[in-house]
Amino acid sequence: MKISESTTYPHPVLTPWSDDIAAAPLSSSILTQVVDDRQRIKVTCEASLDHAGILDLISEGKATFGIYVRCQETGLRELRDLEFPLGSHTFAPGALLGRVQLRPMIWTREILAAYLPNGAHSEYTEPMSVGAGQFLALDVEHVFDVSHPSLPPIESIFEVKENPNLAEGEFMVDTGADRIAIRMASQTFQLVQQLRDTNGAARAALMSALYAPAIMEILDQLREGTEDFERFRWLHPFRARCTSVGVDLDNPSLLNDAQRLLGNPFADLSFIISEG
Amino acid sequence: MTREPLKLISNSVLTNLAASVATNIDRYVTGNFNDLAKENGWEIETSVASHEPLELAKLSPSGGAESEIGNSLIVFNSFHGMTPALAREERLWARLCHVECLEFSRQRWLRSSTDPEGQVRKHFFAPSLPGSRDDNAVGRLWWNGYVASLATPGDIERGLRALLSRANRRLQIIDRADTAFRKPLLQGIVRLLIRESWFDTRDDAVADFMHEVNRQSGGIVFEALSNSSIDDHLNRCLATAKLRKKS
Repeated sequence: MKISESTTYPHPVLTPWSDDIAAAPLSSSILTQVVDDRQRIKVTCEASLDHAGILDLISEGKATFGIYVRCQETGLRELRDLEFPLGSHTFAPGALLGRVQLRPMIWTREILAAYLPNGAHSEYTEPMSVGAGQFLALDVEHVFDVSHPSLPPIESIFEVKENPNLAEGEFMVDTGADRIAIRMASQTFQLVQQLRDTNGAARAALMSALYAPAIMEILDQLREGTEDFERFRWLHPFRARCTSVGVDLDNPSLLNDAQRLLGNPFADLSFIISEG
Repeated sequence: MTREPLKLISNSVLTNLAASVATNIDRYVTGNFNDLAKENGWEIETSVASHEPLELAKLSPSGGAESEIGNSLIVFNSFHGMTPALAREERLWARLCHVECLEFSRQRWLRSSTDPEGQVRKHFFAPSLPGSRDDNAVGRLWWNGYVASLATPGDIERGLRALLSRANRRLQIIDRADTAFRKPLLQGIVRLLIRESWFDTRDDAVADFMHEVNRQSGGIVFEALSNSSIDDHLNRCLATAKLRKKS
């Protein structure tokens, strides 16, 4: 189930991004916690809705509230009914890993013969029939991260390599292998190696100058999707790091996100520096 | 029925192995890793999952659909305590492919290969979800069983037969996470695969059908529908796919 903010529906759907229905949208707060020694994840969702018509449909059992959960790492795709307005679900051990996307929503449980909610946009002139299993209200997507204890450290994804064919002072980023290669001409390579062996500001500045644009380049390449890179080992710790600091790979802000991934430029960047 | 804890290799062993495929290619093609496996980092026991070593010895490397179905049953049924998160663990699949299942993996994927290094990188490691689910020599067998257990709970072999009897079905269904892991939709598709003979007429029939399913199913909450409503929807998708093929 792919839900896009550009998708239109034949009937009015209450969302934060459309004006199908002039009313405060469904809004939810999400709490996640680890509940036992098998590392099961409990998700608690508290919803807020101020639309009498849809509230009536829920209380009459004609519509229901729940969450659609999507987990890239384990493949899980699951729609869960929840108590309204406060409900929770505990997932099976190992069901979730890494980035988890969760969208609260309200959908029909049965056919609504004549649906025209209060506040519906004027283009909806007549009550209409809405089938079972159709969205009535959608919240924004919430994202949380279930840690992956065995992920390799992000510093292992880069390697600095010499390439005599490049002009001195220039470098290029090669993402087409298991580690991201930052290639540079011989003298530049020697200089970089010397500075990597030092401590302090010169090293930090060098690493910022080297890694910030490299990360911007990677973010730019991933903007169109990660499929082409799934076979390379560097993608997975990089994606996990993005999730942990809230970088949206679909819509990156290159300079800002590179700084977030680096902690901040000119600070201690040792966490991301390849020593390999 | 003897069970042993499943074992993992350490991250550093994994990194070294991945960087040394060319160096180790003779070990992959004809030798083994038994000497290396005595070193630290090769035998990290999991506390949550176990397997039956005697069952793994029954894996068949022949590569046909029947063999894939039988192997999937062996792996899925003889691994206990597995979860999807653990099945994403490259260190587990890499350990199995380098030690317990080395001979099977070699016979299955290297026997007649002209690019053994490429095959090793693809089938002896598992660096991503597609890597563990689709490519790893042993991981793909567990994931086959897992998806079949979602599709036909209580009769995994029936699900495996529906999903693996033609190679294109796996590609079109198991490889598509939005389909393979969405239980009500997956179960409906498997019901249709079992009863509809059109899918047996040619390999790309399932691709044409799945194209229609994706096109027509975007905003549907299948979890709210009865099985018969889901079947009706999928029948409409099938009818459109057939019509498109004729036109």
